[in-house]
Amino acid sequence: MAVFSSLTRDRFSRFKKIKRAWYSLILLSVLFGLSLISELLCNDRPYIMSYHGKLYFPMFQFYTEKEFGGKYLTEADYTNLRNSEAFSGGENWMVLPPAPHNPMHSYIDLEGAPPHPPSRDHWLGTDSSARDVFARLLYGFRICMLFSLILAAISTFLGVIIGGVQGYFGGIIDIAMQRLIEIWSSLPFLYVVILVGTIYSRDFIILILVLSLFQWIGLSYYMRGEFFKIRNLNYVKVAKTMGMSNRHILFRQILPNGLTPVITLLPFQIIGGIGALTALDFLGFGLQPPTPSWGELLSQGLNNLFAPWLAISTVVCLFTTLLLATFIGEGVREAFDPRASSN
Amino acid sequence: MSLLKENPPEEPIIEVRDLETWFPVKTGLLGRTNYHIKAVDQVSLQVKPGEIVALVGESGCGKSTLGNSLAGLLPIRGGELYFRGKSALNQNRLQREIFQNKVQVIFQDPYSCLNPKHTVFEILSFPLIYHKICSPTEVRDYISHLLEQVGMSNEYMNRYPHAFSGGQRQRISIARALGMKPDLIICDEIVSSLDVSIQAQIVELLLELRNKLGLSLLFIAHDLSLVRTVSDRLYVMYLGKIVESGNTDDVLMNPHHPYTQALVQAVPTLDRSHPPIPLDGEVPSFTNMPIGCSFQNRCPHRSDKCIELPGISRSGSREIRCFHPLTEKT
Amino acid sequence: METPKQSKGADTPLLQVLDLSIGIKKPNLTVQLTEGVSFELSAGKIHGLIGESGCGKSISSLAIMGMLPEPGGTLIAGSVRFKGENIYQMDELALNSLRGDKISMIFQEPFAAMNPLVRVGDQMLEIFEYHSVDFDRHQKIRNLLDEVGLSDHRRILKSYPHELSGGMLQRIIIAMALLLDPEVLIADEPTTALDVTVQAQIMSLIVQLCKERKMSVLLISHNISLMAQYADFISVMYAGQIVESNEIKAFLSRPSHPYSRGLMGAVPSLDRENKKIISIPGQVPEPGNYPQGCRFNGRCVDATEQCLNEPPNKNLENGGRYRCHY
Repeated sequence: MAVFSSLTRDRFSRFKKIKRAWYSLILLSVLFGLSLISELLCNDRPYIMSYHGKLYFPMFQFYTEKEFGGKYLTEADYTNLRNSEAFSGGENWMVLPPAPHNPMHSYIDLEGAPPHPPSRDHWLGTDSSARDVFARLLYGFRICMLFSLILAAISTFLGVIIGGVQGYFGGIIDIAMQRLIEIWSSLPFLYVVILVGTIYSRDFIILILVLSLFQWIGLSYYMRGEFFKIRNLNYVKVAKTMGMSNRHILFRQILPNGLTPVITLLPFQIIGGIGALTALDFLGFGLQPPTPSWGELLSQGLNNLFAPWLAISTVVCLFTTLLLATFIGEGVREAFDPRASSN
Repeated sequence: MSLLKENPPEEPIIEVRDLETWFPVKTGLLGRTNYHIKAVDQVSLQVKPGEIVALVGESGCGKSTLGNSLAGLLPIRGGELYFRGKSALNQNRLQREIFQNKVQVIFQDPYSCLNPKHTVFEILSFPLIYHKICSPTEVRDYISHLLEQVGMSNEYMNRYPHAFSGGQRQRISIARALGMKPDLIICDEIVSSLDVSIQAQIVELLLELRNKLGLSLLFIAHDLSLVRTVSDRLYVMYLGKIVESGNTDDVLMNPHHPYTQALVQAVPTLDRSHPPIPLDGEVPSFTNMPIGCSFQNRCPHRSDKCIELPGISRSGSREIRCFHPLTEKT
Repeated sequence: METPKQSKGADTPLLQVLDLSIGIKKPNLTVQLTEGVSFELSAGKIHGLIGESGCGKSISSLAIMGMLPEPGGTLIAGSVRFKGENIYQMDELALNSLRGDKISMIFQEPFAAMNPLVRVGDQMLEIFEYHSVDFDRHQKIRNLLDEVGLSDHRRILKSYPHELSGGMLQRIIIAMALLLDPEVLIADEPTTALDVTVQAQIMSLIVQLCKERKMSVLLISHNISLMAQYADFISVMYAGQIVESNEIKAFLSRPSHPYSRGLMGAVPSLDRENKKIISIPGQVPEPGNYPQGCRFNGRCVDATEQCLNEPPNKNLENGGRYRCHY
């Protein structure tokens, strides 16, 4: 369709030429993709195990403790099982994922008091509740990215509609909505988040909903400007003189041309989302524990400065992610720069 | 799919009488409307079937405003508008739509008139399908035919506007207008931003379309020499009013209004023995118009009578607004 | 390549463009925009450079001042000599003192040439900031305003550009260009954005200034009637080359190159009996995509097989020349 006009293909190939941006995009996508299958990569459940000659697939199926010699019908604790005598000989074996740790499991059996420093077993050590840091970073990354992607999608949607309506219709509609937006944007969003979080539970969906009530405002300013500008271009005037409906003009004529701010702002919206979630978690107003979260790890790091691996590893992860996203954002902006010559 | 119209030869396609379009001027702190600029002031013109009528004037005279008003882009504040004999103001919505589709507009800048995100096919087909001019199955053939009429090959259908030159884009705009089977096409300075050799191509195309399809055109332009090659009749505008009208050749070879004469004399020609004669002074602004005849500040034939607004005087097919018409050839 | 002798008398050419070829350097190749452009400017004479968009006239005019297109503009061959000295061999300092002082330029859009936020009088004074002078600047400005026909000095100097009309602004721009009494004035489409009545005023002003100051003027336009009326010599550009060059009266009575003839036929003129205009088929080729041999091949009604070879330069009697096999 028209979205992939040769103009768009031009911009995409320009983007690809900016090596830093292109590789950042690939790297970030790969990392995000890996985090999506975190359960397969970082889990204390083995893919396949053999117990008393029988094959089990704990990754994919639920087995009770009783199966393996325990008393209860709750799920087997594979970590304990791994370290028990049943698996110390060669008789029974497990095939474990590369990072054989569960982010929720507290390894209280380890020597010393948590947080434990990095070791061969726990590459980045454990946190103050003896949970594996690497596992928490990986799962936390997934939550972070999903959160900000969904948030970006919702706020883009709202920003385009609201800004678009303002810019297209202008006049009293624009002025009225602008006043409303100004009042709305003066609400301190942090207090609203805290309030809502206190009244209702603080879960993923609620947080996204509350934050998306505010995130769209920035984009709507851009879209208002874009729609206002495009509305006055000749091809829109021609569509009007040919009697096309408002719907056609908005969606088929103006919208495909007004999407540039959306694309250029998207990486920065994602950065904003990551930052918002991390900050809320850091302050304790974000996701409920024990959800793995970078913000929460950061606050632990702050409280346990003598265990620098907590803070350092989190900061490095945050920095890298935001850096990659920034490179992508810069690359997009440059590729979409209307003044760059295309031949 | 012939576009020829059956019409009794005398009834004009479009006629306006004493048309007025104003722009409010807001001044002062509270933005109160103090007065209005009459961009189009008591203009009467008509276009008959199969005629090419030119509307000329210098910048700011109101010719584009008039074109936009006729196209429905600007509200008409006063006067009458007739389409094929029937009044076209105060219409219900359906009738207005019919009128608007029968009158099409093409604008000056070829680079902003085509949506850069749409292919030629999409540009041409959207209005056709929306207004049910032809069915979705026939549309491709119809567009092929349209492109052929404007001299473009139909392999261009899947290309985007940025692949085309200015002249080709204007052809696409012309095809778009033709597709609606209009009775009248308003051409608002459509060749002014094109090269001379391309201008000639487009003019040839317009004449061909008029001859083959009986199309009527209102050709708005500022280039008098160009207008002579393309139009049958001519209206000259100055500061919102029509000052002279008549057959193009007659008016240009033998102007009766002093402004028309000044215009004609100022145009450079290829004849070095007749250098252009400049007209002194500047066009007064709309907010600062003289009382009476708007040309009096620059008119070499001015007299005391000119502080009254001259009415329209007719002689044959010529109409002018002047107390001192030049009835001898200069 | 020999340049045509434009006069038999004592006017030595003030500015000579010799075989100028300008291109743009791209990562893989150099795209040539103009090739072998040669013409001369003499004091007190107006030389017209005519061509349609993309023919290279604006690029050539900027190159006369040593300004190459950005980014990547490069001088492939040729030179520009001002009073015998090659400006492309001058250092930056000498070149800067040449611009504005000896060679001056005015452009098409008066409103785009001026800063909308600064008063006209202050903008005129700015000219003197880069070139030190030893006369009274304010008096000079007033003199020049008189010369261009603007007598209401106080009001004009105090105004902002948007408060003045296009015609008045263009006069001011001409005045600004003449503040340092240049010897060469380059006028790139100076009246294209103006109404025809104002155009006549501005053009007669330019002619008057040219004669009175014994300046040489390079007039660039796409309007051949304008050239017919105001130029003394004409060079026709097509696809980066000069295809014909002659004294204006000789040119008008007998254009030699098919493109020149095509232009004359395509241009409507009020004085002609026959009002029909004949178009030139096809389009101007893009740089880098020129046809083999003669660049007008493909649009020329008289083309033959021989036109696949580079056409030779032919000389005409009074010093004109053109580039065609026929």
